[in-house]
Amino acid sequence: MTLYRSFTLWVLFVALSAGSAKATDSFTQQFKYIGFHLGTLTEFYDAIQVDDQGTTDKFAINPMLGFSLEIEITPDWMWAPEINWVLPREAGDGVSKNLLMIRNDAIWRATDILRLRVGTSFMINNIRGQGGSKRLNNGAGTSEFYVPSESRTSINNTLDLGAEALMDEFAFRFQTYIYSLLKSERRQISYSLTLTYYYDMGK
Amino acid sequence: MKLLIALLLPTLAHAFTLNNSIGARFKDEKVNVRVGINPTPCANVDLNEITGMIGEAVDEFWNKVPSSRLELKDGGSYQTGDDDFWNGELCLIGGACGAPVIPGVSDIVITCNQNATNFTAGSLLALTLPNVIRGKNIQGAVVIINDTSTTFDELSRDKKVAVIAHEIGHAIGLGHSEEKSALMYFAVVPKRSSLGQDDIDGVTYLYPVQLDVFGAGCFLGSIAASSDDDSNGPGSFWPTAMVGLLLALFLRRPVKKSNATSSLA
Repeated sequence: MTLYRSFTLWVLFVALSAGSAKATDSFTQQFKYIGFHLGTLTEFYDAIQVDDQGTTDKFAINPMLGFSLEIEITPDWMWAPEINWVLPREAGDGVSKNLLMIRNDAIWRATDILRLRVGTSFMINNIRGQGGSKRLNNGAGTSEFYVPSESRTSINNTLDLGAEALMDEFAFRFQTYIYSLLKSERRQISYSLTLTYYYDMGK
Repeated sequence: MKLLIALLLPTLAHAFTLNNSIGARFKDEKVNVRVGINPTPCANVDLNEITGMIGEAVDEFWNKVPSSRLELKDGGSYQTGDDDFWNGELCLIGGACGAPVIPGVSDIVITCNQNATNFTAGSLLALTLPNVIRGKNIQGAVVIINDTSTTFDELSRDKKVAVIAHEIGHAIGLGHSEEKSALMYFAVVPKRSSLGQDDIDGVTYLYPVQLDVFGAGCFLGSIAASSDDDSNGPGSFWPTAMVGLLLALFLRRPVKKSNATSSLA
């Protein structure tokens, strides 16, 4: 339900923007591109242990799909509302994770092939389980432990910085997401690598 | 085709578990972790050393998760009655005994214990007694370190910190994980540097943050932060909607006329 609501919010958000742009009678001049994204997200860079030797995760494959609009503010500046969805990660015992990213970037055209981005995201992270229990080793025997039975959602606001290399209608983007910017002990950085296809609405 | 599906739908090997069937957790987001000091010194455990490790156990592990609202704090020490108690009988000197007298609400107490009924095997390092639960809230938790043998004392400092952090994981409501990468794995691993994915998912599930703006805390007050039930993320839509609308209005371009025919000049 939360994902549905978030999607509704995003549609509302874009609709407001569209209404604003439409009022200028130059809709296609301002809505420059629609972007379709395919990428992978690495969550909490270097902060998640992945084995029993203390190794931490610096790159992960968490497939991500998304799309964005690009609205021209000035010839060098664009505004890009965006939505990304990290595909559900399923566990064998019925626990799954869903991450929806509702984003906004200001894009600065640094050169003909390089664009820099600064923005913010709402990271809507849902974890749900189907309940039940399982017997697990407890040191001196086994004990009953319980699989989560509810759906719970956390929402973080992140500061995002990114760079994008353009190649005709395609682009490769490195995007960072800074969690808990104002709280150093909890600060974590996630990043995504994305390939984007831009459809030119002016064509 | 199977490879493509596998790539698109990655599967986590295992998932976190909970130590109770109702998903109970501390109601408050700030929880004190204290050391219970006994009048008779522990035989094999240095509680002063434990006191110095609590800060590391919470700051290097559980307090590092931005998607969790739980904030564990080093709460100092309790003076406890003895070190030979059985489940629920930990009590303050001069105070009444019996659960849930101690620990108080939002407290986790760590102490040593010499009761062989608790430690059925000498190899057990520590354990968390069943949490005191009311409704869906954990009222308090007691972690006991095995003082019947020298097993705990022989560990390196880093491993002691990891054991304490593991038991705090139980105290806040988590069960074991089957992943060796997880702090909540049942055994000590060669090296523990940070939480595993299961641990992060588990503490996020139990204590999901509700719209934390840049780490400045919950937006529009503590939305659902003290609610008994935030399944499905109640309260998350409207604050999100308001922020989205404010952003939209802020970024909205002023309406321009399509031509200049109305110019007074």
